[in-house]
Amino acid sequence: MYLFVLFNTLYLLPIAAQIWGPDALMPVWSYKPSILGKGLNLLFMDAVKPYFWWFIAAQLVFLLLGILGRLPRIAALVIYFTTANLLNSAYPMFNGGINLLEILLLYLVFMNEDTGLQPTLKNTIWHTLTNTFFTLARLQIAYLYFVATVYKLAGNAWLDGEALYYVLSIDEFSHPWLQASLLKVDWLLVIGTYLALAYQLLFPLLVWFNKTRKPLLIVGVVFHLFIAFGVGLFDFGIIMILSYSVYLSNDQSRHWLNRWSRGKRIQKKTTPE
Amino acid sequence: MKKWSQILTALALFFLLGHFAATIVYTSPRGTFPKSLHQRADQYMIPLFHQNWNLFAPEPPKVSRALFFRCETAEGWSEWINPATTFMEGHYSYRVSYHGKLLQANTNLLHYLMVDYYRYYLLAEEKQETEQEKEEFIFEAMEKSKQYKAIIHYLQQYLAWKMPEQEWQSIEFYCEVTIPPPYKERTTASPELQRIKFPIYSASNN
Repeated sequence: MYLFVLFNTLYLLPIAAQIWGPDALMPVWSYKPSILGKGLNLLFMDAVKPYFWWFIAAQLVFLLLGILGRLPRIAALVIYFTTANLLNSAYPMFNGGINLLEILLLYLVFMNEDTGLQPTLKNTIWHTLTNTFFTLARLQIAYLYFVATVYKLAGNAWLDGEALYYVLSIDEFSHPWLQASLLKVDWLLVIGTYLALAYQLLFPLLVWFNKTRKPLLIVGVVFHLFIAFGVGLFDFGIIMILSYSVYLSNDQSRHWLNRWSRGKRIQKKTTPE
Repeated sequence: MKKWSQILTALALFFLLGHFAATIVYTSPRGTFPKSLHQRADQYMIPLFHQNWNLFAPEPPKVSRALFFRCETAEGWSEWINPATTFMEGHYSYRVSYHGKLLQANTNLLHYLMVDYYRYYLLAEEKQETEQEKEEFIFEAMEKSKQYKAIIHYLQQYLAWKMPEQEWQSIEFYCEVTIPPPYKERTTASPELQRIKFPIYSASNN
């Protein structure tokens, strides 16, 4: 997740002034937030806008610390604070994927994987918080698919198998190559529409069972890669794929993390003797 | 310690249920629950947990929109420019680049503008008699609209970014709407084009 946030900021750096600076392309939002909301919308304020580089610098430094596993709790908090401020102030550029990213980054603040196994009050609090926000993350993603399906079933285009035709006909959500090839193949458009609908409908049901989870997530990765590169909503597609990590078991997570971390093996936690 | 663990588990369960209930209320269409409940859910959800999952739903977008503008300088009006042209080209060439984000900003700002436009269009249809009266009504309403001001801000900053030497006095823009043929007529019909004009913005009057 942190690697994606790092990548997202780095590829926006060439136009940082146009996104966040005092002369940004985005208009200032007239939303009047609560005190908490104000703290996460600081870059809407004219007095703060000239300091947008400080937000970017702090975000990048703490992202690197977070990725390296240094000061994880402080890093999680600073990453959430700076990322929320940067993304909120550029709201016309983003989509639901960014909403999900912000929510998951906030949950990460309360997930502490370094909690000891001794039965102290501090450890018990961290275990409870970690498990609560981990469960919340799983529920949030399943619920997201449920809501998306309910909304789609309220219209006609998805039920009639026509939705993919309309999406790919729109230049902003397509690619000339896809328009030239896919738009001519009727059966593929219809099957694609129904598969997308079926996947979203089944996800909240099948993701909870060990037998169905793995194939479901593999189909989901393919589906979201199409959204990322075909439909062109790169951030949405990739964030959805990354969010699937909350459904991996401890062993699966350890396996993946060990693939990435050289030398430092991630050990199974055992109860102290 | 067991007692503490039980208390913490109960608190966590309470929070989990409360949070999930607020999420359900917040993401439900207005009117599903009492207004006061929606307002309470908004207060809790908007600052930290804002979310919206109706992408391409209930219907996917059925029109493509393009923003064209020109500016008036001492030498007269410029050519019509579509700021999204270069963003679109970049987005087609490199799927992972800032061009896609600029294109999305352009698309979203135009979408917000057209939502306002159609609201005033329907009001004009209801209240005004002649075509001229309708246009005047829409223009007057649009000039005060937040989304019209947002587009003007965007175009001003775009000009300052891409053509900093340009000393302009007025900006005029329109939205070109391309409607692909309905699904059942896709092989026989051609896309339909509409051009929707907006009031001219004059730097001296604002």
